[in-house]
Amino acid sequence: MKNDFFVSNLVELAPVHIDTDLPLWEKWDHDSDYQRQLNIYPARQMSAASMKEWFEKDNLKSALFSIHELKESKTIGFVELDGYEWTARTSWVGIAIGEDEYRGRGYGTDAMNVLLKFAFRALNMHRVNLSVFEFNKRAIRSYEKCGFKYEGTSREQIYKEDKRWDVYNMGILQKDWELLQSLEK
Amino acid sequence: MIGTSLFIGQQIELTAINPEKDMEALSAWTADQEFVKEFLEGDFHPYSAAELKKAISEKIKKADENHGAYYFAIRPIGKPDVVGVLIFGWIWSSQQSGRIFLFFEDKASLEQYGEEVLKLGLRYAFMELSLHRLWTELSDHNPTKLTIFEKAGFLRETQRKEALFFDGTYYDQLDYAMLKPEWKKLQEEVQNEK
Repeated sequence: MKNDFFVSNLVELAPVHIDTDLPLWEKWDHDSDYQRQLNIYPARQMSAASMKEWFEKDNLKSALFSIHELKESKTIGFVELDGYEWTARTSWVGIAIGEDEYRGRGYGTDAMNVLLKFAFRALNMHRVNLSVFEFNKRAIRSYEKCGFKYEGTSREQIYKEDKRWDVYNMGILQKDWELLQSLEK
Repeated sequence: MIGTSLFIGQQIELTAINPEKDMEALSAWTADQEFVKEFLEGDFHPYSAAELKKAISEKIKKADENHGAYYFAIRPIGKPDVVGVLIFGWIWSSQQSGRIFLFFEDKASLEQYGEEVLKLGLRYAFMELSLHRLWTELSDHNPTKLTIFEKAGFLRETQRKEALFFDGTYYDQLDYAMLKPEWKKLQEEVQNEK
């Protein structure tokens, strides 16, 4: 029997396939809005070949997954748990849906829930952190659905388009996530 | 000269960390979980002077190459003793933001020098690193330090529930920050009082 720990209703979390996934990353990165919602660094263009080099050289201290939608087993994005801190047992999550037609349809929320299951039930994390930019309303709604709670604002952390933008900080505790699971059953 | 010294205060001065001479003193500080977590960004255990020398030399070398961090040893003026460290890290030039970390060897030094070091540190952050935003992470585990940052004008922005674990107890992580316009306003207020 296939182990279905990483499978949910809409998606499966799978290891990143360097040869087939990285060209998708390069394609997604060509959309500057995508990069500007993903992280704080200046948006840039990097080839799949350079990413491959980085992957093979870098000893990843994180869990990085491709998000596969189940119907066609197509890679639609990625999700990553990193920044492990094993004293308080905390970590950080980042997620992106690169394929436009899969945005706003629950795929990201579903993938985040599988990742939280991994964080809390496999790694026994105590809490998971995330940061989201104030202009990314769709992501904020998705995180709230997963049970993340707003914990504060990093004022004017982002400087783009000659404007300063806030970053919202959210978090979820293991016990609160487990409580949500028992309620949803 | 375009201003008063960035490095010399009333009682203390900001100087280089010396990987040859300071390691015996700093080795004793590695019994403190906060120091190891924030300064070495490594697993917590006490470090020998030799281990520390290696770790710190690498950090200083990397910071020199990528301009991502700035390290200072805090010393009473004219004395060789190091009583604390001041570090600016997470420098994101494109976003004009960075993080301040302050550590003293004991509570007495924190109380005696903390305010003065922060005054120098804020000027360095806003007038030399030219940051717009300076942030730091604190907690109720060290209330003295919390009070000093609050008195300096840092505002609490985020309370991360049970994100820290010290001495067998979970603490909320309290994120504080100051923005350059806020700092400038405080300087004007000080000027007006004079």
